[in-house]
Amino acid sequence: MIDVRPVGYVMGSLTAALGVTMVAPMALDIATANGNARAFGEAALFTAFTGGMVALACQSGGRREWNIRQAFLLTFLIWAVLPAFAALPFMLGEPRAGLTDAVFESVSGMTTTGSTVFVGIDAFPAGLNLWRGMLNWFGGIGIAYIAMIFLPHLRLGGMQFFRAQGFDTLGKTLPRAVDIARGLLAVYVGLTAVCAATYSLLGMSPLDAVVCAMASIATGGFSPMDASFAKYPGAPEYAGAIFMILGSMPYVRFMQLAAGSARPFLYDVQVRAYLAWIAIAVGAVTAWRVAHGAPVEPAFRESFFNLVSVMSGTGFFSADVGSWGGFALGVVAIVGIIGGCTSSSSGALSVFRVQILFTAIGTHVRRLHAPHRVEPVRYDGRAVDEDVIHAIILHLTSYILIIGLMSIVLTLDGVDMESAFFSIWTSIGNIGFGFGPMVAPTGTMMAFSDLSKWVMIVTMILGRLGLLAVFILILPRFWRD
Amino acid sequence: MHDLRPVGYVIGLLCAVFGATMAVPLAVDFAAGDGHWRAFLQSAVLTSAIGGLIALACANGVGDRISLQQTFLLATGVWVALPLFGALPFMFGATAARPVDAVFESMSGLTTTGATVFTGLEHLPRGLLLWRSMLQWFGGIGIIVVAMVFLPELRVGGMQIFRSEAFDTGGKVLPRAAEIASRIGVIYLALTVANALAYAAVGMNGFDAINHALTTMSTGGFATSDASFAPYQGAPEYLASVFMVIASLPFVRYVQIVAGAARPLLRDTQVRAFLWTIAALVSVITAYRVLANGDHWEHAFREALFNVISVITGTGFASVDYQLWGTFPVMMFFFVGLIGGCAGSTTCSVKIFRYQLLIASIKVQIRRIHSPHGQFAPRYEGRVVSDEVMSSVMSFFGVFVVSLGLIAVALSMTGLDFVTSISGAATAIANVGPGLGDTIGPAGNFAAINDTAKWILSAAMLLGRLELLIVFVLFMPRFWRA
Repeated sequence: MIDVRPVGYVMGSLTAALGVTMVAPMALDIATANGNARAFGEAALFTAFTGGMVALACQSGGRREWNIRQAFLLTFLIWAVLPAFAALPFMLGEPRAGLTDAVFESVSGMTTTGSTVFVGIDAFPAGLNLWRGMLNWFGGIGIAYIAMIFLPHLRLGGMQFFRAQGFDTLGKTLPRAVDIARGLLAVYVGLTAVCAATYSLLGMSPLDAVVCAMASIATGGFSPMDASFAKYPGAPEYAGAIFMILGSMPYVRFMQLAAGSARPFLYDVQVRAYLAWIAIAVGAVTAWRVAHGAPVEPAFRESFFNLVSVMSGTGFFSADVGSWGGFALGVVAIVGIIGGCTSSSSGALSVFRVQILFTAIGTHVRRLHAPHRVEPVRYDGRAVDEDVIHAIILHLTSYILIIGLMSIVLTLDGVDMESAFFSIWTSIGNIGFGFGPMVAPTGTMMAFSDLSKWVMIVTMILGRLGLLAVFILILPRFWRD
Repeated sequence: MHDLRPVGYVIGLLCAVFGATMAVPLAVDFAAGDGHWRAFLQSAVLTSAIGGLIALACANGVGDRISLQQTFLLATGVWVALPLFGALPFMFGATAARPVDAVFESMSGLTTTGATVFTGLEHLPRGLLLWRSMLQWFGGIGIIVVAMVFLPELRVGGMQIFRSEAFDTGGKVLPRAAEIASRIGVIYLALTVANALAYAAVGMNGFDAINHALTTMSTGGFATSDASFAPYQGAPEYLASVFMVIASLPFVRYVQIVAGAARPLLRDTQVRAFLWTIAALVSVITAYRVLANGDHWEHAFREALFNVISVITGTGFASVDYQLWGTFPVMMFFFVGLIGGCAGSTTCSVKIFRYQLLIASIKVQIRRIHSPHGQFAPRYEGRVVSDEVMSSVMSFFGVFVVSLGLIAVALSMTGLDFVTSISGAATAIANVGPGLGDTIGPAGNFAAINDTAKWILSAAMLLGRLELLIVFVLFMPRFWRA
């Protein structure tokens, strides 16, 4: 049996901290006097109290060496437990949601998915909308941190490739987890502030600007507007696209940039490929739409904004993408499966894995041609272990299989094929877009049954943590010594 | 540049023989006395003459051994040349098809896909129907030889795991291929005859029994009427299910049985996994139909059995429009098509053994996480699987998924809707036959889709049939240098 006290201590502390942050929306609700402050007050007290008790109970095991199983458990618990507490304000106050809807919304927030089950968001109390933005924001920095610290050591999904790299290049400036956290936080807060300032300069109301900024940098996609970015067409769309791209790039590069070295950022092969692929996808969809009679500027702007939103896994929308036709939908489906860069807050497969996949396939085909030539797969000039390649292809295959299995489960619940596929696609990639007859009328997931919503909740967490990380926890082997 | 003569010689010979086989439908039409035999005469003469000339022109370069590069070229060359000639009767004959339709039909036949662009099949001359079935039958035996001799030799998609088994070529690919083809050919023919007799015994007329036997044993799926297998409810469905399963087991096992050893078949893990998969899928779909739709259990079971096996083996017969069963079974059928049968059979798609290796690899990864310093290796049938095989299998999965996505997008660019694009791409690359949706679903056919999409689908069938990588190698500039 593993020692769960260190895990409990950290979980308790995090839960208590989450409770404390509920003071912010409470204060906003008090200031706007909309009568919803009470919900946040109750939720804050309950959350902070429970978290504090757990932390105290486990304190005796607090400062120990961590082993890999505890790291697994903690990673999983963060995304399983915190959303449960974060769901409280949705149930205690407006919109008086049921358990399923509240948990769906908060899991969607903390996994930075951005799918919602609510309509009439414009009429929500200001504090609640701020809370939704904060959920995105916490989820974003959480996964970026986990991706930098934990995942490389878990040997999952090929992330072990970054174990040696990334931090070594920083020299000794950021040797420890705490320092990484500090650097990451500075970058993250800085980007969010710049983003919020830009949005409000471009004409957004202060609340809209702040919430959208949090959701943009976290690639979350919650906005305080039912119409999402269609409420602010034009310049805010361009700004939004740029900040979503920034939010889906490797944060370690920004940290290096802040430390004064721009070179790693400019020469990052992943960043370059990401930008190139965005350009190709946007170019193709724009050309397709212009060829079908759409005017050039709106076609480009909408393609740019919405494709970036899908690829970065954000989920803002500014147009009815579903009506652009089969080709646009195909491109959207593919960029959504690719996703943004690793060690950012974006989800899905990530550019890094797709790059390795293509390189590995290329090398394999060459090897078929000349079986006796030894030629390692190279990424960024470094040879990639077979281990890493297998892990990546397994990740890819299980990703596709999960999409298949989960879509089948949704169809078992009576959902049509297109809605089922895209709901799972959006959940596992933490994207936030939805297509199909069940989603189209409202642009939300509210029409699904409770069972389907729980399937999506599970899928969002699966997608966020990497699939194997969750499977491992259900193996008896994991719990034995 | 490689010496193309040995490749040309073999392809030329095959074409000449292929042309000669057109004498069979010619004779059938001649006997019917409707004058349609002229189409086959023209095609046969053209095919044999061109094939013979190519073979003669290349005859001076033939040795015992051919190089790896030549083997790649040969495999692709055969599946490009034969469908082109096989398309001739559709152009000259009663269907008077345009090249795009004729090539689609012929490619669909020789890759044992079973998707058709023709309607009113029951009104076509019998010779033409027989020719469609024969295309599939040739495609079936062809792919067994490729899977047993070529793929292990070329190390494609992890097939080298079957290299040591029974059929080591020792570098001499062509003599080996001829020898295996003749041994397998006898078994294949015997099974087909047994199948035809069985069909006739349960009430099919002679012509239908022969045609359906030809397309069952090749897991092809061309039928003699638009209704596919629907006219033959009941016992023929069970019978067809059994023979489709027989056709999707590794043929090397039958060779061993003929040699007196039944044990390898009974103990083959791939066969077991395949049968278990079918059992699980059939039970789930039967249960769903009985519980959710309230259907009669025997109907539900029989139709689930027949259609699941038809899709998993890549045959593509349809006895009902299973899209009417509800969304859940439809979604299941989509993914069932991506499973496939056993390696070394006439089936297509990913194939069971690759999933087995994938699972073995996942297990190893999980163990490694649990104890990072332990040494673990994936195993298959008790033997350690080498890194090289694992890489091949992994690359295959990667290539398969990427190709599927790209073909689906290409199809959607021609204006097809989402469901048609993705299921069309899947059904073509996995050589199944019917897709999903109103147009290409089990109740429809491919006649209504646009020409560009038909060309894309024809190419996808070829890619899928040759396990993708064989074709991709040819697109490498390096392949043509040296």
